[in-house]
Amino acid sequence: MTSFAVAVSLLALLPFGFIIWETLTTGWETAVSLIFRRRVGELLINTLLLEALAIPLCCAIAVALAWLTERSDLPGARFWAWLGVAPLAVPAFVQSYAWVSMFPGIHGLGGGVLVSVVTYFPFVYLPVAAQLRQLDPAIEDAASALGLGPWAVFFRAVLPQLRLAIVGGALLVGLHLLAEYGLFAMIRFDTFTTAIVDQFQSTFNGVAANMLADVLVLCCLGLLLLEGRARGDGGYARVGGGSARAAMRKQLGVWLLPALALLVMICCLSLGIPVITLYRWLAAGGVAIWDFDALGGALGQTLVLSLAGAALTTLAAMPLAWLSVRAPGRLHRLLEACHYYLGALPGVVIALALVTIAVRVALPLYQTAANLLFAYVLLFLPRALVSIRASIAQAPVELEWTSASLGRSPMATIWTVTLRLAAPGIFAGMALVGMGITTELTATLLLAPTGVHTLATRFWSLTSELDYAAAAPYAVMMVVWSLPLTFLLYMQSRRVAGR
Amino acid sequence: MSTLTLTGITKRYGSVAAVDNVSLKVEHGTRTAVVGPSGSGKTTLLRLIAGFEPPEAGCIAIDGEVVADQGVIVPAHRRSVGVVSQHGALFPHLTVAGNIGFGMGRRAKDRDRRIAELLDAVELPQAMGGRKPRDLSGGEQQRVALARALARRPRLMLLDEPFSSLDTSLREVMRAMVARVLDDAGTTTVLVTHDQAEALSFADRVAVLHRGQLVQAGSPQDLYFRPQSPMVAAFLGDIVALPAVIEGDLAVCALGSIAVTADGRAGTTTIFLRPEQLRLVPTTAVDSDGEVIGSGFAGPTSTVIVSLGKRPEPLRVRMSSQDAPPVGTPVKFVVLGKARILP
Ligand SMILES: Nc1ncnc2c1ncn2[C@@H]1O[C@H](COP(=O)(O)OP(=O)(O)O)[C@@H](O)[C@H]1O
Ligand SMILES: [Mg+2]
Repeated sequence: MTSFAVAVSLLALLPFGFIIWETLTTGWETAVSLIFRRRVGELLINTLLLEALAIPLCCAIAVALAWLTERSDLPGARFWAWLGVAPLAVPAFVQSYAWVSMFPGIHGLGGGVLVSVVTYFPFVYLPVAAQLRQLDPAIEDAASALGLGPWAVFFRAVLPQLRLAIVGGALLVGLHLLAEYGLFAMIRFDTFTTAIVDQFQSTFNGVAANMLADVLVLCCLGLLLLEGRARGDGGYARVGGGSARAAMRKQLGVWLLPALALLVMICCLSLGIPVITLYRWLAAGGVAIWDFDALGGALGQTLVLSLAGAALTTLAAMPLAWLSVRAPGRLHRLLEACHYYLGALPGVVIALALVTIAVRVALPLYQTAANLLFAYVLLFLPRALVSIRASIAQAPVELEWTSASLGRSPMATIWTVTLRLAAPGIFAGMALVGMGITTELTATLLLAPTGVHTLATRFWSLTSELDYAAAAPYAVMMVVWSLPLTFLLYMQSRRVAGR
Repeated sequence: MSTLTLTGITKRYGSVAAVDNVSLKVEHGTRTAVVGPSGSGKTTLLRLIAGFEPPEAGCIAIDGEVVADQGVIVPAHRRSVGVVSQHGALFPHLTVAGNIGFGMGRRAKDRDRRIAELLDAVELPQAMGGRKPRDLSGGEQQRVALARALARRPRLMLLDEPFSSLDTSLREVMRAMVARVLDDAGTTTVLVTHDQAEALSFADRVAVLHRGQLVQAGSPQDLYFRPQSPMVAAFLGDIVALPAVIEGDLAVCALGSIAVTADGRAGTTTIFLRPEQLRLVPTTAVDSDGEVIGSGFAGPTSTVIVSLGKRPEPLRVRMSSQDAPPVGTPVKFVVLGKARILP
């Protein structure tokens, strides 16, 4: 089991090793000339500005929304909580397609920030809302008793306790901003990822693309370090025994109308615009845009790829997850940390590495479904690991011992007890991966063999031809596909909090 | 023949020796209680015997078969040792019947009959077989756990504080039931507990564990009346310790001259009595040993606090609330049986 886990981890390190290898073999002069040039500077400024503007905005919106839905007497709080998560069902590039359709002039930094914020704020909303539900209201009571007014209580007693959730969500947003291709390409805002894909597609200039990838990886690393800093020294334990009593909801009073206005505005921007755009394109396109052959083909291929990818990823993650729960030694901690960092590698970097390796070393793999599936496994392994780990932790080790004392062999025990108990969580993790693959664009664009078209790539090629109407059915199908995923995420965050 | 033989068993976690050079024999068909304060290594010892972890040093033999020694480790599922843990550890995804039948093999011919028998044995209604563990009370869960462990007719049964999560009244009933079921099945048993009363009443033999070391083993009476260390004396029950001068078969102390088992010792030492050896009699101020200065009421019994003239700290004696003298009464002690020298 350990050797399997190590093998998986070594494979997962392949793209990273490739980047380092490339950098080392490129030669100092070439590397310097490719990295220290005007273009890279521009991209860097774009990226930094995007992160610096979008992340705080996402956090502010998410915290306000979370407080309103969890802690105020807002009418229909449950419904609004749903709307806070629902934007996750709209893939980023569909969101940006909707905005471009409605406001054809949108472009550049302003557009990029606007669309990213409405797309990604749920990544912060989910953990913050979960954390807010978990907070012990006794701390707030104590703060008020010490003479703090309601605003001071929020900023000095509540907000610090949300820190981990906010920082964690912000990291996710930041990494998505770095890795996203479709969203920014559509509104013509250049980031490292779009530049790498352009470079790759126009000239297949391996070295130049790889140097850009280097800088991109450094950006991710910087983000991770920043997160480590901002996270502080860990959690805040609840003091004393007993379960926390449910918090009182604050009365909004005269603030009700402004609060509702804020919520309605967020919903209009994040959900209203895609819904209206899709509806308009579908209405305008009529029957003509429903080319069922192409649609059916793309759907079928997407399904096959998602199922295969999800199954493979889960299989690869299982031994590592099991070991890290049951035998948390130094080696396993190292492997886990390694996957945590690999989880930050953008899809475009992984894809680029796999293409180049295939071309140079294993040509038969070039443009095969196997290579694409391998990329999916690498891309989604860290996420699968997290959810499988959590579900294995649900099956107490005591039950494994009991099973052994009743005469079941270790393998039989894992099969009939551990996996049986962890199954719901493992399937949820599999579904998350599968649905993630359904809307994956960047790696699929670079790696898909000729003739393989997923919903995302079809959609993408149609919008590239500016046939927005014909792209609409694909967008609708991806959104419909992503709804269960969104529901799953929502339920998971509820369950964690309801522990 | 001994069913279980431990020889010099040691298990360390980091620098802590959770089990330190423990040797113990458990005879066939007997009940042994391992008792010790929380953290003394009881659970670790059971886990080593069950085979969930290997010992660092020492040898474990069951029915003469070596199951753990340098280089030889028989895995838990081949040891045929039954385990019942503190919270039962029932499989939440199986019904009660499924839990009991877990170790039997799915197609065993008499599976259903066995399950019915075992439900009877642990005094559970047959209808309970179809229920899920989460619908059971704590006591019912423990009964199912016991039935499940018995189903395979283990060579040895290990019980890790199986009663400690139950409330006091249920504990007595369960203890009697478990003792009867194990006797009927003739199963050799090791019970681990931090409750000395439970150990003394349940077992034929008691072993006291302290900081991972086995400090004394013997019959319950032996340990209670003839402890070989102050720790064992104090752990197995309340003691009244008094400085005394031994003169032949008498000890001269704050209670006057009392009979003592001197075992040849003489001179100044500390003797001890169990509080139930003391009787308080109200008397006149002249020939009293001391005076009642306080009293703690606990229903049927009261703890009476008596200040002795010469001694700085007062004595505490538990007695029937009916007889408890009021505060201020001069009292005299009558000592039943003999005092012992505190080792
Ligand atoms: N898995 C473990 N890792 C580290 N220390 C342990 C572990 N299990 C037990 N210990 C330590 O060993 C000692 C004995 O523990 P345990 O056998 O559980 O005691 P008991 O059951 O008598 O309360 C304790 O000091 C405990 O902290
Ligand atoms: Mg214990």
